[in-house]
Amino acid sequence: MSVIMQLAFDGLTIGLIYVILAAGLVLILSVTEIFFVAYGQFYMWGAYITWYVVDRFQLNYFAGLAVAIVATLVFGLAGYLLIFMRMQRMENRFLITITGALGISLILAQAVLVVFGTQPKSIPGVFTGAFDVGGVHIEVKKLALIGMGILVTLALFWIYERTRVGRAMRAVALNADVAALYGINPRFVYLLTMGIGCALAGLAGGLLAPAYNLSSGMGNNVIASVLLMTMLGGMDSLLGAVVGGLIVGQILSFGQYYTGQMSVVYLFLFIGLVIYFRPNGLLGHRTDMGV
Amino acid sequence: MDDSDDRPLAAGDPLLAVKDLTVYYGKALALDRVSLHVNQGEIVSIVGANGAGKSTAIRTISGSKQPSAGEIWFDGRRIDGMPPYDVVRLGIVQVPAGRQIFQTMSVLDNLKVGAHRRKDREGIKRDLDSVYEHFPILKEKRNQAGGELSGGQQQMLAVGRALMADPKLLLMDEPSIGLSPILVAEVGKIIKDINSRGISILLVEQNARMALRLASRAYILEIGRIGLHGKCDDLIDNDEVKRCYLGG
Repeated sequence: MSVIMQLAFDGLTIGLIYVILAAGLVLILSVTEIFFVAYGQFYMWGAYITWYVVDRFQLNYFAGLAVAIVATLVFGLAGYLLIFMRMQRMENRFLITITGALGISLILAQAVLVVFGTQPKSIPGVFTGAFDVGGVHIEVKKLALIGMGILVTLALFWIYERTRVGRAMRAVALNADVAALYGINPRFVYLLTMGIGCALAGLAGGLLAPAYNLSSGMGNNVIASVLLMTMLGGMDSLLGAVVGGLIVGQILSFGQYYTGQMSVVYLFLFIGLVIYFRPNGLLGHRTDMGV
Repeated sequence: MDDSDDRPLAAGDPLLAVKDLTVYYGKALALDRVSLHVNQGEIVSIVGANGAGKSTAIRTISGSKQPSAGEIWFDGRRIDGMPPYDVVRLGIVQVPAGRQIFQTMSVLDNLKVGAHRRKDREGIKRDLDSVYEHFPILKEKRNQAGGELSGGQQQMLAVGRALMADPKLLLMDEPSIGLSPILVAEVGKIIKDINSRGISILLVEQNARMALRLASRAYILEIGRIGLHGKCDDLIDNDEVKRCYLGG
């Protein structure tokens, strides 16, 4: 029993990272309709920047987290302005924006090796200590991650559902031409969404950094899983991203314990089955994204 | 925005003046030197068959479609080439064909999108109350998704959303399409009512009978060109209009 509880706790910890990652990707997919395969690299960069600020400059962890968020936000904004804004006006924008995203992904993946080397990194000693509850070993660093993850998710929902900016994002996601008729500049909303989405990936990386080891392959490793989560939850549903992220966190946690490497295969099979019966995902509305 | 070239609207100037507007879709000529105007407080109709260019005219005035030649003047300011999200701020607000409400957003959020560019909180509140007063069903269903409304209610929402943008001129693209005859009459009443509050209306309709009855003047659009135009009372009695647009 305590093994199951332990796996559930660990699944929740990584699940909350997934929730934030999936939420950011859902925003980018549904609003900009760019199939943003470079997304995982922003997560990796967020983690590495946090590590760098803490390890090299001996600064507070939250300072590192803040730098990571700002840096990935700026990356995202620059990426949109320099690359995607023009591409979005092109006739074959769906394919050409994927190609652009692939290019960004390769550059960011290589750059991390050049800048930080191939050695795995970790930030020990940010949140220390652990305690046992009912046979479950609870590390404070994971508990901190869960707490911050929930706060970030709630804040994101509040912005998306309750603020003027969030409403503009939802309107553009549904119909950019009609949104423009009522004073919303779609290009500005695309820019903003790309920035916020990338910053969420950076934030997720920064949240992960004190609790797990960082490796230069983490961006590549995570992108397939995050895409699967968004498909599971629904590519246009923020709530779907939350559900998808939490489910995938649990599947991988239990899967790795009981089946090892095969867990990814079972994850694919499970999500494939869901998509077969619910093509829009569990909570999504549309399937015509980007076409 | 630079206002130096703009002149204030003199008495007798039309609120909207379209001069020799030419619009292409790719290589296809959609509008050929179309000129029309709407005076302050008027209801003006553009009547024509499917594909005559009615919607193109509306879409070009609202900025969704760029003209290749011609001028559009509104309230003493030249607006052709302006993007739609700036045009709406001047007071030209479009109610798009097929209503185009945001299906998965709540009724209230749909209305709030209409007021996106406004800063006057008091005015927004007042206009929301006024929309609720005119369409009580929207208040009742304000937390429901727009897509759950019936066709007629969605038309009310589309009109309400446009009113939230505080229009001086409302561009209505086929508001009667897909509605039952009872609802068409209802929409007609709504248009009259909005107009009585001082909002000018440019109405595009395939339903010529409705359009000519509501408007004071009308333009007949024939494959991209203005054929007849004049007072609706005269047009209704015109033999050609009767034969082509009113079914005998």
